[in-house]
Amino acid sequence: MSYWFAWVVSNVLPFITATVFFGGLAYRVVRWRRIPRASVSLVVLPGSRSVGQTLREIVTEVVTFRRVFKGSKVLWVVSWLFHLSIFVFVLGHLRLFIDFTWLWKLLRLTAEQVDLFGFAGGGASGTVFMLGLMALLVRRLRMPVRSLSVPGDYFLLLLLLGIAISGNYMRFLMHIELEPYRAFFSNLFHLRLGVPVENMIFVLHFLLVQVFLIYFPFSKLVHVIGGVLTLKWTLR
Amino acid sequence: MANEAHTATRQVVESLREKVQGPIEAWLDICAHCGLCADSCHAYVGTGDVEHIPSARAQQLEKVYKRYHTKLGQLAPRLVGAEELDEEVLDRLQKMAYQCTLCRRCTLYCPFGIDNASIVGVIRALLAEAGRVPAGLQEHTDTAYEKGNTLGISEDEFLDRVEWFEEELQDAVEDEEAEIPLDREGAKVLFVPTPIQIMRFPTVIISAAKIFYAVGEDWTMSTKRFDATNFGLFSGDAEKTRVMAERLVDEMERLGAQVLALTECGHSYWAMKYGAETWLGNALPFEVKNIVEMIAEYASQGRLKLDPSVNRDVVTYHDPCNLGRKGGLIEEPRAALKAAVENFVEMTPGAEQTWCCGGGGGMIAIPDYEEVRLASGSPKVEQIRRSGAEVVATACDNCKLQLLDLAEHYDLDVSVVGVVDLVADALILDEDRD
Ligand code: HEM
Ligand code: SF4
Ligand code: SF4
Repeated sequence: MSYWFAWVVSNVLPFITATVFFGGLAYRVVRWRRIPRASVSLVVLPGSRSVGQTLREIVTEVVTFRRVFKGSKVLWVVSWLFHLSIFVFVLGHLRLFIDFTWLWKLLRLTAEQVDLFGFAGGGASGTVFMLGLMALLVRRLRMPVRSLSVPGDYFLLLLLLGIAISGNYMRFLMHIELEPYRAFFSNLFHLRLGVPVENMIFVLHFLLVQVFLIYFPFSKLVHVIGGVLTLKWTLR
Repeated sequence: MANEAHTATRQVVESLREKVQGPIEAWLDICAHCGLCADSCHAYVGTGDVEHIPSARAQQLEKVYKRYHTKLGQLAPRLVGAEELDEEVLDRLQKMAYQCTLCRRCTLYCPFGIDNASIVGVIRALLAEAGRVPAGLQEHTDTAYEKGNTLGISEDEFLDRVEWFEEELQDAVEDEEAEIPLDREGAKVLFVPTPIQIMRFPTVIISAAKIFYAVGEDWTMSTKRFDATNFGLFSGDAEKTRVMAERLVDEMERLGAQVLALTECGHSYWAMKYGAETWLGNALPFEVKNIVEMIAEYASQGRLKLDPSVNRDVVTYHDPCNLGRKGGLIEEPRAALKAAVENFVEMTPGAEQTWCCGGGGGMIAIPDYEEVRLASGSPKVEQIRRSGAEVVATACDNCKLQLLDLAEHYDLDVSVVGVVDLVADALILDEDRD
């Protein structure tokens, strides 16, 4: 039973996930580009800016979270570290798919050093991510943010917490060799269905990530693209 | 089950679909429910009522939208927090929409720049369709729509007042020939005041006339259209909003003027400068300017001679949201004031981040909202106190009425005046005019 479960999660679900994720995001963007039929004047904050200026401001906003800083210093620390950790471990996970040998050569790093580097970066970001989620959850449980919260907000934080805990468990409490996982993903990309990696924690982690990606286009997480797309309407 | 309440809201539900599209939908989708906007809204800060958190307003609209226009909202309303548009929800929407002043301060503080004022605009449009515009605001809107101005002033009354304004002008500039031109075709500038100014703040009109006189502007007023305001915009009634904008456009055309000079008034500037194009479906064939903008221009062209020593009190400037943050006129009023007064101080946070007075968006016209309006003004009061100013200058009737109420309610010892008044007081008139 657990074998078949693992097989489905590893070999079937990923295709559904990818379809829903990319299709869902495309659907969102197409809808956002519609012009309201009712005459709603959308001149929000006037002021002429060049394309370059707008781009620069968007990049600053995305990198520094300036507006969050302006609103709340505490949330800024939590939120900025939280998002930075996401950025770091998403990069780290790329090692599952691509072998960056040229980069290591360029940086003159040996295989051991790369692994150590990966362990440190992954461990730190995983920890920060987990603590950040807990802090965000506590904040959400307190007024006034509590009054703005819907079930989806809690679901998302708990789902991510599940991903963080299972990921950190593998990182800190299990000894994991990268190779079989790399082989697994390589097979998956080449549509070679095979025996999944025999690690139930991994299967759980992978399942939660996919639930997350399927939920993504239908949740507030579309702020990842929407936040950037819409900022240009209201930059100041 | 098609009960009566259900049919009454059917049309509203249908138009909900048309209005929640594009940017509005995107904003509802991406809001992270992070609450960062809460402390930027004077209504929430002033009242502590969580229904006044900007995102809460948007979410209330989203809940109704989901109930009717998404599959999940229809199948499992509880799960996604979808809500039926019943009496209770309509009441809540009314409070949330009309107690927001549409000031856009939250837009600056939201990390994604979500514009809750546009979203509230959509809610107001829906409520107007459902016949739920609050009493007071509805009456003003109807009067303006039927009689041509919000106070129902007749043409005779208007002429009477202008005659008196003209005498005041002649006394002030010591020139019997000085006049307030009416319906002068081919004049370059059409100056449009507000009914409140005609009846309650006449100095604004007299001061503007004095400034026009001093620079020798080629201007006129109209005996047909002497109301710059657009109460259709406040109530959310799309048709009336359009008609009110169109009246000014038609009058500009009739008189062949090139510049529509709007008096000290926030929302009318926003309406004509930024809204009208969308409502009328084409760009306006003339320039829209606010009087403070014109004063700044005159000053920079060296056409105004001012003596700041006549205004010695400590003066600060309250940016009406519609002129500053929403209108882009930040430097202009400051340039005018700095030339006209000796001690100018800024409030903090200032310029586009300044606090709203708490009385905008039509709230001042709704008697039931007085308590909330006064509470909403408390961040502004704090800000004025901290500035140490003795005089608060501003450029909007709505702000003025609210600031006067606030001063009384909070024992704030300041006087409230128009920018034009301070400038007019400081005017040095040339002996030999050409
Ligand atoms: C362009 C990239 C991104 C930007 C600019 C951005 C910005 C923000 C901001 C400003 C907030 C609100 C403040 C807060 O609650 O922390 C937020 C919330 C959040 N972001 Fe992002 N984000 C980005 C990417 C991501 C990604 C890739 C994820 C994926 C996991 C993510 C997950 C979240 C979550 C879960 C929240 C809500 C936290 C809560 O419920 O309190 N973000 N984001
Ligand atoms: S526009 Fe102003 S009043 Fe309305 S929600 Fe935003 S901050 Fe509050
Ligand atoms: S600050 Fe913006 S994203 Fe956060 S709750 Fe308010 S509207 Fe939503």
